[in-house]
Amino acid sequence: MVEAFAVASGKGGTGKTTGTLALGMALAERYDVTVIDADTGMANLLFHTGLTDAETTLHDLLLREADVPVEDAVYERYGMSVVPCGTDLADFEAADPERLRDVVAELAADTDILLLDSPATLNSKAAVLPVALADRAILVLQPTVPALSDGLKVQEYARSYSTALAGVVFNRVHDDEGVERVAEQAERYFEGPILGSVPDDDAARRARRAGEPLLAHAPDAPAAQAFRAAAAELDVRAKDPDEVAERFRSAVVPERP
Amino acid sequence: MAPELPDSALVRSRVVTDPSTTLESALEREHTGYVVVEPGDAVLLDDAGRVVLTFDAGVPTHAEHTGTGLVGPAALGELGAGPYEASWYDCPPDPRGAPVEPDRPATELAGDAALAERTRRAAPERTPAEDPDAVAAFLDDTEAIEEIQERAREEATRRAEEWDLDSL
Repeated sequence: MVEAFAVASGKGGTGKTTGTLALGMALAERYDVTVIDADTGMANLLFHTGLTDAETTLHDLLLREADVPVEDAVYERYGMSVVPCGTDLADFEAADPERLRDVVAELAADTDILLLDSPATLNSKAAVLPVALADRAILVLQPTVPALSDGLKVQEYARSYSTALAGVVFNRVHDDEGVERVAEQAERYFEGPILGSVPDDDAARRARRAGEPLLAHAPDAPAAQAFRAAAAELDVRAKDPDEVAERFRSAVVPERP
Repeated sequence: MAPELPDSALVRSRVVTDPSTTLESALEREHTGYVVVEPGDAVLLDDAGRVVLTFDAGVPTHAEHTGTGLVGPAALGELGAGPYEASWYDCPPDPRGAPVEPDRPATELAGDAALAERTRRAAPERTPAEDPDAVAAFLDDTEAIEEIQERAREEATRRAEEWDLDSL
């Protein structure tokens, strides 16, 4: 049983990686969760999970000449399987994107939920691919005009690849932003529910500084509790792992951005 | 002169033509640590100095210019012409120089107003708050939203064909 979610935002600075790991940790209380840094051009997950020294990363699995087993890049951290990506530009250049499909397909065979931390842009084929491949997308947005515009745009991209929207999480919300009213209005335009509203919280910054996921660093912080509540709202729809694996395997090869 | 930055924390170096690339990456990565920006001509001109930016969760907090010893906003004005080498240090930072407004580097180094606004919003003490009425007005304008959706749909369809993603 598996469902692949792309966690996307459209633009950076929304706390997408913080959100991916927070949702992942919350879901890991009920499911086997695998989190993959699908932003191969601008890896970030390793800085949030204390994996900056990880010897093997997704990049190594994507190298043309590499004969590295997938499990070598899987790290059991915080109750999840974490697949970080490296930050070396030369490795990125040398990577064969075709291998990504197989890597993800292999990981899909052995987990309940795949979370793909997706690039914060739609400007290249490789950046759009995680959204195109996933079963559904989760949007992490701030309740602002530019962020909502981006979110609507990502939703249209997702739709055009038959990727449904699982829901929206408002993040880094400030008290004075009237988020309830925004959520009520926004719900008309987004195909999935508003899963939750996460307050702007210094605990998230402290967690990032410590190289730990928010739910591990400050499990009782208001933002951590709000992410947990959002995860509880997500209706996970189990799929046949072979079907998901096939979807990844049959995907076309992304060009380098 | 401040002590050397920790070599062990140097995670990568990049050559960029525009500092906005670096500032945008830092914001997207929620970078915490330092980025040292050195103009390409510094190598030729006998180390004209580099700007050391301290970041907290993607937001620049402090700046220092090593050549002149200027700190804070004044340090930003000292960066020479590009291309630049940006060296990234990932570690809990001990801020270098003096504080800068979160949006100041985006404005001064990159002249990028949109990036400045996004950085301001990501900062813990951002001002001013987004006017909730503006967001409400935006979401009330069904026609404008339909137009955004329509345009995105067309763009996505066109690119799906270009990128051969329409078979997914």
